[in-house]
Amino acid sequence: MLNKVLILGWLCACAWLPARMVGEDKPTDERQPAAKPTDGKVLQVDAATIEGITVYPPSAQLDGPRSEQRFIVLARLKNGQEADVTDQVAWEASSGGEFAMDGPIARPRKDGQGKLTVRLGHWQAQSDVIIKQAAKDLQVDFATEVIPALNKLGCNQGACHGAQHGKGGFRLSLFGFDPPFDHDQIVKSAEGRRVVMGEPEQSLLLLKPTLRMEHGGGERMKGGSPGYERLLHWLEQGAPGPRPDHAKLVSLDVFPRQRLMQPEERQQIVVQARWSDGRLEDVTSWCQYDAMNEALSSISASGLVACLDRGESHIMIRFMGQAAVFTVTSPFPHGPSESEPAAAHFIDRHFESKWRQLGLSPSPVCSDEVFLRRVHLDLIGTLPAPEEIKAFLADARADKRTHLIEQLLDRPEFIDYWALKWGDLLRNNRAYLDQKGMWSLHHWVRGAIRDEMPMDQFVKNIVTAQGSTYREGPANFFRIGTSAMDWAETTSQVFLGVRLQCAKCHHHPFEKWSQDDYYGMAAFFTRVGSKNSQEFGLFGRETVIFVRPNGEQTHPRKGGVVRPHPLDGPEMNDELDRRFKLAEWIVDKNNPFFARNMVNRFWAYLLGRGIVEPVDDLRATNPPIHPELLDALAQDWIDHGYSLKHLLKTIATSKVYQHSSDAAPGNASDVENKYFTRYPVKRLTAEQLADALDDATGSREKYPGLPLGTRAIQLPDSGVRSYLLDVFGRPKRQIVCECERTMSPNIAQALHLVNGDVINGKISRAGGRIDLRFKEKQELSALVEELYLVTVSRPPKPEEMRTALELMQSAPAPRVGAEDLLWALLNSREFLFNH
Amino acid sequence: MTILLFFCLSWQSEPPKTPASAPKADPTYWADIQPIFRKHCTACHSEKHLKSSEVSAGIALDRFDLMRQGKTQKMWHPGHSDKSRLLEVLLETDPEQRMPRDADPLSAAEIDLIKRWLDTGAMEGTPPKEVALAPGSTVKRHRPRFDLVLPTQFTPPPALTAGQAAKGRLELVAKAGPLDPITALAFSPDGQWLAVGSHGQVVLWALDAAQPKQVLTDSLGAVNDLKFNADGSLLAVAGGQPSVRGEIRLYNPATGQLVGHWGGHHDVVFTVAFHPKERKIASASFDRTVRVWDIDKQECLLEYTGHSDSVYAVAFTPDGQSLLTASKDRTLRKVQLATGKSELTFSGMSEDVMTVAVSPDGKQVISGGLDRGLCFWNAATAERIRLVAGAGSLLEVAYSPDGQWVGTAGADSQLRIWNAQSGALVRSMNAGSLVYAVAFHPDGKRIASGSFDGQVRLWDRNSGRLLSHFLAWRQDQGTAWLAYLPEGYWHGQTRDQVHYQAPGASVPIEQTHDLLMKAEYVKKAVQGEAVPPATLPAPPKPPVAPSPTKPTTPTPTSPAGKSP
Repeated sequence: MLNKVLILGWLCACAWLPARMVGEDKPTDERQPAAKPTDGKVLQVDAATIEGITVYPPSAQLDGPRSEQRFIVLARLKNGQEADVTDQVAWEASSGGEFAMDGPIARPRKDGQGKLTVRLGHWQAQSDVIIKQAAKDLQVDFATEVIPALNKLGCNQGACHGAQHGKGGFRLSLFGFDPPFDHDQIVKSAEGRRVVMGEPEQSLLLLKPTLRMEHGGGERMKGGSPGYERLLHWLEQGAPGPRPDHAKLVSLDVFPRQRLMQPEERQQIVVQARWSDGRLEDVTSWCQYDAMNEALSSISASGLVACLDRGESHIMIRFMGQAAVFTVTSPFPHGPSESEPAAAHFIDRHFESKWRQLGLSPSPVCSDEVFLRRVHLDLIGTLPAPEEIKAFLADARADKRTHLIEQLLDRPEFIDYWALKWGDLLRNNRAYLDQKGMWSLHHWVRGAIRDEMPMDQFVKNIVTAQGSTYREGPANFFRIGTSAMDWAETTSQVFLGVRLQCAKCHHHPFEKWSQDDYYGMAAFFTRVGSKNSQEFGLFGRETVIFVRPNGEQTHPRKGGVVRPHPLDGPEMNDELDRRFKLAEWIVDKNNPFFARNMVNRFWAYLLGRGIVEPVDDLRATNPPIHPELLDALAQDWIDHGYSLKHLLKTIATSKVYQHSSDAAPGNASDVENKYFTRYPVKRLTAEQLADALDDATGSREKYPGLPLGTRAIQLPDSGVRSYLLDVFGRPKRQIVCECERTMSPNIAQALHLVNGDVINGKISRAGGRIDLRFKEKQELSALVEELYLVTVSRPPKPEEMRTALELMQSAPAPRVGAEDLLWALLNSREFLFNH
Repeated sequence: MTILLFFCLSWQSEPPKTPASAPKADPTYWADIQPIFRKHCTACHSEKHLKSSEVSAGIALDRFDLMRQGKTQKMWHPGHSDKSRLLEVLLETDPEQRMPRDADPLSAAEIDLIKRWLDTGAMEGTPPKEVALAPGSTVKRHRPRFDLVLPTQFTPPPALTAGQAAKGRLELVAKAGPLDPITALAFSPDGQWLAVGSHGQVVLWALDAAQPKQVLTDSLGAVNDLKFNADGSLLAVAGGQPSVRGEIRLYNPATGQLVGHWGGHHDVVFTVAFHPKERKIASASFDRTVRVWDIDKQECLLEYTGHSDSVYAVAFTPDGQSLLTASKDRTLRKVQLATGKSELTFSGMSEDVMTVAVSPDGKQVISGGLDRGLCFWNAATAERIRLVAGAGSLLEVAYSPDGQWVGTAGADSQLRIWNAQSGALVRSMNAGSLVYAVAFHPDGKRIASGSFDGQVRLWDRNSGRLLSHFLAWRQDQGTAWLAYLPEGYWHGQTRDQVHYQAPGASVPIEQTHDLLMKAEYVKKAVQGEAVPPATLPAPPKPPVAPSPTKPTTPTPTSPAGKSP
């Protein structure tokens, strides 16, 4: 064993190391800010460098005596950059006196139409301002003014009074999605202990969050702050409740939407809400802001964004159930990559512009042997055989990589490998379906992949499946969940990439989905039923999925029937089976979710992370790193008939897929490799690893209940016992999340490989590769070469060959040396990772 | 008479001095330290949570005397900050161990002040004075009352409105908004008084005069319940400062004199109940406890802590042996007074139980709460006899004096009368907005409801007729009041407190005052008697012989004769 450890150390030292790729510190000079900020605030801009200025928002409304509007001014500079010059401009309200400027903030004076003019040097820009109800004593509206204040103060968040049972006896609806409930809780419950109409300042509602009384949630506001004043004003008016016809939020506009910024630069943003009654309101002070990557950018409670470091990051902006995103782009300082000929592949063209914008350049294209191994693992989950390696390396054709990809797509293992992926997604599992149902679904999926069934057909067949679960494979989809809600959630997450679960009980916190949307989706499935059948004998336990002629989805909170309507879609119905309408909507060419979700998933299977990450969480507040690429990829897939093979070929033939996994100087600063400037290093998945171990040792694992020779990627579900597969993160197929397959390392994995009986047994087993070769009396150097080919898929380098031969000669017996060599190779990172 | 003194939290006192402004004088607990504790510590480490050691660890910092007791006294050593655990936990570097938990550490200035306070002997200083109804902030805002519109059933005849045909009913308009919600009601046993409670105020209406005779405004904070004792010599007021303390006050209703008051509960008292035979009173509080007090000694005789959440209601059985309690923990308990133990649990509710009442014969218990049903129980066995659904959430229930009827206050604005034997709904009356309080007049024929809209409505139990509305609101000088009838008649302090409006017509004030400001009709209606509809007197000088139909038949010419 000492010998083994020594070899392992040697192998690790000279063989390829994934650790080189990640977590390197940036050179210190890169951390220097590009320009010095003025007293840590906003860059002071020389007027001579300006090419033009823009004032945001372009138009504003001041509606009601308490309304106000903040303006910001951006300058375009001659060097192509932008700068916030709000602090440098002169503000000028139109002469009619309709409104007045207090710095960048406009306040109403009298009704009418006015114009704001901003000036900087000889540059000027204008914004229209409409003033309404300037003198009217308007009531504070509970649903559109008080609730946003509670949201902003954080009162109704999940950890505080928005918790299921509230806090300290006081409960609010999560994020204020139920205004009548909140009004009752604040004003009426517990004998109205929280408000005092006659003396509003004595109300607990104001005493506690200002810490004039103990408050478990600490100080949430100061007396006299905008939130305090708004709540106080509302109380003074007798704490009126929500109007049944209160305005609904139509849209949220962020100004600007995105900015190119330098580290340490700041930018105030402005958010305008457009209400259903036509009002336009400045809600900048009432939005909730979250920085999605706190290392790159941050935002203050009042909407002041600070760029902290280079890269691209997003700010999530939430207001009244809607969300928007502000994008901060701060290019890496490498400068544009060397001018390369315009790429032929559309994926590469899209990335070239992205990298140029971000100041990144890609790693070079990987070697043939690396590509061969990579594409085998990614497309068929199987390592190349020694003959295949030799043949490919000897192939002199310029387009041999494309030929190889085409060959792989037609291999039988292709069916095995992608049926396994779909089995994961559909959660095919004998625990839900019993054995017959599980096999029925497994074989149907395999058949669909073998016959190259277009993915739209595939999904349609599943969503509209009915009949016996033993005869109709896809019908088993309706036995994996048990209710219309389950099926709606699974359909949304798997086929649309939308996580809808939150909206079951409350408005989705980061998205526009409400309970109406959730139950609108569920309504498509409410008529699906199941019954037992004795077709397969009294104890055959066959289930039949059928559609009932009636049955409606009710709204748990509001009561009443929810008509079927898909996400963002119109109400639709079908007398015979509503699911057909849903299926048609899902696979419609114009569906914004389906194709983008699918191409994103398959992109992630090949390239380690999605264009949207996590892959099954497509939403406005989780933007793709490259929206245009995602759209183009989806469109290309639609144009090619939703063909899985076409999609995989498209991705695999791109240069982006064929980059080396080594970091290059031009992309080392993108530590997470978010922009695909190099191929990601991926540990072999459980099934890939199990088969690779079998192939390398020449010793097949016998899986219980299945014939000898069945490979791990052919297993129908995770009910087939295998300790190795479980330790390496084979999903149990219990939850509908890509994250169920764990790729994280653990000590059991390491021990299993280093010291497990399974590996040692396989290496030395009679009839295994080494046993056979010694019986055949093969030359040692040929054996060494073979062992390298079957593990790391390349011939050994001369010094590796020399060391290996020395090792065998110094071993007690050459066979022991050979076994030690194979053991060391199987434990090398180069074997364990797809790189 | 002992009046216990309460320590008052310093939000009622002056704002704390900033450490920087007063570095010279030695810091004291009340002036310097307690404000820091209140900001960072006493949400958990307070007297209120002393018994829940998982919250407070048995440490209370909100009162100086508590700091010298129990586990707290071991936390600090006057004169030795270095030996004081109190300082140690603030300076702890491990965020898991440091106080305050899950929050930012105290500022260096705050820690320094605490250290200095400990080293200079940890003096108490002067506790803040007890302040009655101190304003929450020092800035007094000018808060004009807004117009409150009070609808009637009276359609103003065109003769009154200069020939304009009103398109709807007459509305009285009074500068009274916003009214504090009515949270408690009680009739005196002799039927002379109706006590009405709202925040900070109890108004005793004399029913024969249909106007307030006593206004009690020194009842600090919330008024959640009012009860007369059996002979009517005492009126108990239950309430307190939410989240601070609960209080019970006893008044002589005839003189309005405060004859006793005490606290002890850590949060507001929701309900009180007089013992039917002895001089005892029971109280149920938001602090999850039920207590029984000796009225004369003002001592707590019993504390029942069996409920796991706020206790909303308490009632004695007629024999005085047991208490019925209703709690947010979704149960009712029957607690034996002799042992202080719960003998029965009434369960099966899925939401808070808000109210409980015991029938005069002691055999039946009724309860209501947020899970939308009126429950009838066997008082001896805790078996549910009947559940009547469809009434929405119920906030108070009451038996009529003869036990034949049940009145319920509904969150759906309905006052309902039920048959106590059959559980049948007899009548449902719209009380304007959520109803907090309901009370039967001792004659059993009238019933009063108190609503969120700040109005008391008096009804005829038998016919469901709305007899009168009562309103009272605080002004700079005393309390203003108004009683008005659906027929449009009203009665108040001054003529100028009301003006009128009706859709589509302008209503002249003086003529309408003459027509509608009729105290005698208000008094009659309050007694349940009929009042005649308001009609204009015949025009003073009719051009032709008067005809009996003339005054009620609107003609375009008649009002012209009235204009001066």
